Amino acid sequence: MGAKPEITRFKGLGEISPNEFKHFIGDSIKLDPVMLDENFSIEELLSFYMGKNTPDRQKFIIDNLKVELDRIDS
Amino acid sequence: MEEDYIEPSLPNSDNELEDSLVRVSGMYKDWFLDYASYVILERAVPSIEDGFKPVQRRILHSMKDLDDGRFNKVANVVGHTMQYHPHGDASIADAMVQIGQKDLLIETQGNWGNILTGDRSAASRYIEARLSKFALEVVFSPKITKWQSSYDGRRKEPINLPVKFPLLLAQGGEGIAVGLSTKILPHNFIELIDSSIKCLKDKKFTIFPDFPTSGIMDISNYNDGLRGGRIKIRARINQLNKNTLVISEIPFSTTTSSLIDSILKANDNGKIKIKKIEDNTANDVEVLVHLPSNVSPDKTIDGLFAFTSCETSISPFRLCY
Repeated sequence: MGAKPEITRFKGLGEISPNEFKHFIGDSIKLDPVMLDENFSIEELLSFYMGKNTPDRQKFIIDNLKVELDRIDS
Repeated sequence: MEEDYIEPSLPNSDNELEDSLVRVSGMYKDWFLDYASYVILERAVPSIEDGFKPVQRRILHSMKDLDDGRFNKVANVVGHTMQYHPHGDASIADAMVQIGQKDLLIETQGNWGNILTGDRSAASRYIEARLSKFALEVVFSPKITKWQSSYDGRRKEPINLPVKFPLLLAQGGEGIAVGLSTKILPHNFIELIDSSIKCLKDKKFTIFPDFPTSGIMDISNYNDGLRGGRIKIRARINQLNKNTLVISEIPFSTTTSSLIDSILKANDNGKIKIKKIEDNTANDVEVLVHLPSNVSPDKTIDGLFAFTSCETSISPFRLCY
């Protein structure tokens, strides 16, 4: 990267040019390993995040809400 | 297969492995919280500070940017708003029309649709808007506004607008986020002013919802708007003559066309008997229900409340961040 890198954003396929997209699937593809614990149940995970336990999930979200602000002091 | 891929790039000791790897459960938790927080804070839920969702705040901020006292095309305001809100132009225009239809912050010009009939507004290239005097007076105050950088860092936008009025209670709001949703009913402007004065003087006050569609409200189960509270709203139905009923006010959340659909459905199901229904609504609601000569108007009125959306029940749930 040079002194002034230009930062772009890829929200969806429409915001990626073909020559950018080829890096997503070519040799320079960036992969993260997916690790499952032995004693871990996908069913439990999915039922917590998508099940009928709305009040628990609501409390979990409210307690862990991620707030990002790019403040400007003027 | 997993092992084949991981092994070359991974440290050998189990401890290091623990440190450098995020397991699926942790990845899922992070993604879920990222997404839920984003939808709650950036999209669906209004802020308790100023009563705006981000799209609404950005529309108002853009209108202030563009304000020269003259009307601006809505399409132009929408384009300007996209400097802060990099999302669909049609959904920004819809959000703006909804603010305009509430007739408080935006002065409108052209066909902005009709909340009574449910008719949509004209396209955003035809209709025009400017900030109302009320909005200019009550919504903006640059000196005490805290600012944040826009999504691409080119511009600054308000974190909240310093609104000098309980705007959220006046306009109401609705949003479905992730894991939670909100429904805040609108209230009467003058009652809000009176209550605000009482509140500032540290006096007791009670306030109930009020609706631009009028209607008759039963608040016996309102429970101060707390979770589990519920109100019933009825259309105003009078008997015009022995074969005709006239509906002159409708419940909040209905339109004359959705109301008529529900009446026709009840008629098809044999719950009520009507001959013909006629919608003369323009500035005021006027729906004429013509009855066959052997049918009792009183019983039909009871049937309309029981089997159609002439009686509608709403459960508000306040939730803001």
